[in-house]
Amino acid sequence: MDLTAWLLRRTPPRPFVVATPGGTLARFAVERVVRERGWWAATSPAEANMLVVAGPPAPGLDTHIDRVWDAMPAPRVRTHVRAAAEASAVLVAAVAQLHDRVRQQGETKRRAVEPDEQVHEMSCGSAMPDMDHGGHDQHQSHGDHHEHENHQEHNGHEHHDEHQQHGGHEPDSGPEHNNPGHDGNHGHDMHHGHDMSGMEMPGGIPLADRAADRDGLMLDVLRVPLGPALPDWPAGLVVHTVLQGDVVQEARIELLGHSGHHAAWRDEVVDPALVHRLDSAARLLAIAGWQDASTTARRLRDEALVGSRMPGLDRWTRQVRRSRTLRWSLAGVGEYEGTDALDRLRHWLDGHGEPLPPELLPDLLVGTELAAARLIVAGLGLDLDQRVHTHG
Amino acid sequence: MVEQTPWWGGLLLPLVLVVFALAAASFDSVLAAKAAGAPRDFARPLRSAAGLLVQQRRGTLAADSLLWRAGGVALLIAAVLASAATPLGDWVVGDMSVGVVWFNAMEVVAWAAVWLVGWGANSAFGLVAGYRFVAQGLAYELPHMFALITAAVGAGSLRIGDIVAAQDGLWFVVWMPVAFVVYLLSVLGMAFFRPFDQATGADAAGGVLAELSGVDRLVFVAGRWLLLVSGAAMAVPLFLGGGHGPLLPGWTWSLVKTAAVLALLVWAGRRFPTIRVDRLQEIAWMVLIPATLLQALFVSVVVVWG
Repeated sequence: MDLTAWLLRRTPPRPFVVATPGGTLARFAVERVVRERGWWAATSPAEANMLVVAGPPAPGLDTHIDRVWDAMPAPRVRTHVRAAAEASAVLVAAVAQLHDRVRQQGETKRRAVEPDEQVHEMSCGSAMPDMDHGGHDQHQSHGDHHEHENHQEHNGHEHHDEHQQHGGHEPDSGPEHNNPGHDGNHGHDMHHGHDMSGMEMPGGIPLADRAADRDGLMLDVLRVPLGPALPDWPAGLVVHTVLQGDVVQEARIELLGHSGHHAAWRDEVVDPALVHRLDSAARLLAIAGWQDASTTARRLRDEALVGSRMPGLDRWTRQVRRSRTLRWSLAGVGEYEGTDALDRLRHWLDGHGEPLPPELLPDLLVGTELAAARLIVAGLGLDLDQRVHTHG
Repeated sequence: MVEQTPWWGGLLLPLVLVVFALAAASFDSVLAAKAAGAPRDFARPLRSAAGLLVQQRRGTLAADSLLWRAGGVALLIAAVLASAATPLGDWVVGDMSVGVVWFNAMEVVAWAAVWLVGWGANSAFGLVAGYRFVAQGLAYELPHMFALITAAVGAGSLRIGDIVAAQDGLWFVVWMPVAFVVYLLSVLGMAFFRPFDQATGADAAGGVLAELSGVDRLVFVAGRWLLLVSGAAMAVPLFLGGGHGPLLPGWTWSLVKTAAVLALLVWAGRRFPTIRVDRLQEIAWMVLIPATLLQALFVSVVVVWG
């Protein structure tokens, strides 16, 4: 009896779900299957064995999704749920592939040769960033960090238009690679050897630059892009951050793949506002580390989607509203016009509160800790697909 | 009355701990399934372990592999060694005159272990999370030590066997409730278990776990569960009268009480969102430390005058 095959068949699927712009309903369907089958979603590619792309194909995101795929250890399977209706069938087929010994042997072999290919890719520079972005990314590290003030200004205002433009008209301009000059492994966006500069440096990674931080200390400068291939993250959003220690010194946003031709999910749902509020709460609670409350919110969302009764709604609302520890975690996070993430969550519970625009993010993020960054993003309740609808 | 086991007791100890850890993880996954409306899966921890056994070990660019992998192993070993001083009924693997100090010394290894795992992967999230745990240590360790000392003061000895014997009539939990509660909180903190799990938080892509896969992940996650079990098991001789109890033999009482404490910790952990380290710091220094000091003062006064 083949022990590996026996163990493989018992491996629980650990899906890493990446939503693409326009894929809101597909994501809901995927999350529903994941929840009802008792799978646990992965928080990082290393933990995952199933990469699930939910939503219509988005060429702008391909490089980012490939990178997550490259970072996943075998056994692994990659699958694409284009529409909500096919979620269940596609995921069941994916599990069969995951548990298929022969197929996974192939994955293991492929993984074994991959590092060389990647080194090759790196050294021939085939994955150079697009020129517009290259300007920022490659040269920013040469000494303009001390002008934080300027950068914040810059991020706060000037970039909006530029990025919407990118999102709107050049969906292919997206693949901006993990920026050169930094430590190569940025959690999610990490991958082996994709860094494009510094090939002569020891270990293939150049040393981090240094610059004075807010207290005047010379600290390493790290560029950590957040998104777009992250779980519980707005589809297609990238936040390019510059970190010193774990404090965000600069941030700018980029919207990938929002080409404006997607059907708006809100037209297909009975009470889209309610669904969106429950979904936003579920994501915020997941990031805040309250798994069970988040799961319950998703269950309520799935019930709201089909317009059925929601018997657990009151109980869940009370529980979330009363939680003192949640108050500790969210109070003061992402303050904007007198409301913080906690207030906004309570508004969602109360049945009002509209999604805020992503353009607020750079201003909210600068000066916060990396830990708070994802809470801030989740606390805005962004609905980028709605944008697609109204603007496109 | 607590006696040291022969040498093979040391071989049995890890097995007992692993069984408890599996049971606790199983209970945890049943609770998760209940929240999700999914079918119950008692064997989930075993299946997860199976999955990790066949999963590739991942390397990262310019990782400090030795320290990265050593961290998980250190956590596992420390968790087992910490329990060497914990009696099961009348048996204990190591009947040390400084049992309390030994237990504390072993669990402090977690500080180094978790930080090393965060550091070793050469990943921004791992490193940030590693430092989160060090900061968390600053919050829970002092209240934890005061809670341990309170029990030792109550018995007038650092030997765990003496502490159990001192609870023949009255369990320490009755007149040291604050120390007991703080001890349980600090156990959750030191095992970076929910709700003190910011070191592995979803906001940092799994934190120190972000880059771990395969057997490395299995070792680290198992070490974490064993640490939780070790902490829960030690609560029994320190505060819950050890093997004391009516009718049943001592070892049964030890097992039952340990299971109860463990179940309480796992259940309670799911009831709260992650408590951020900076908030925990405030609570620890403003509330927990003064409270444990007052508790220790009260116990000392009772011991001296009572």
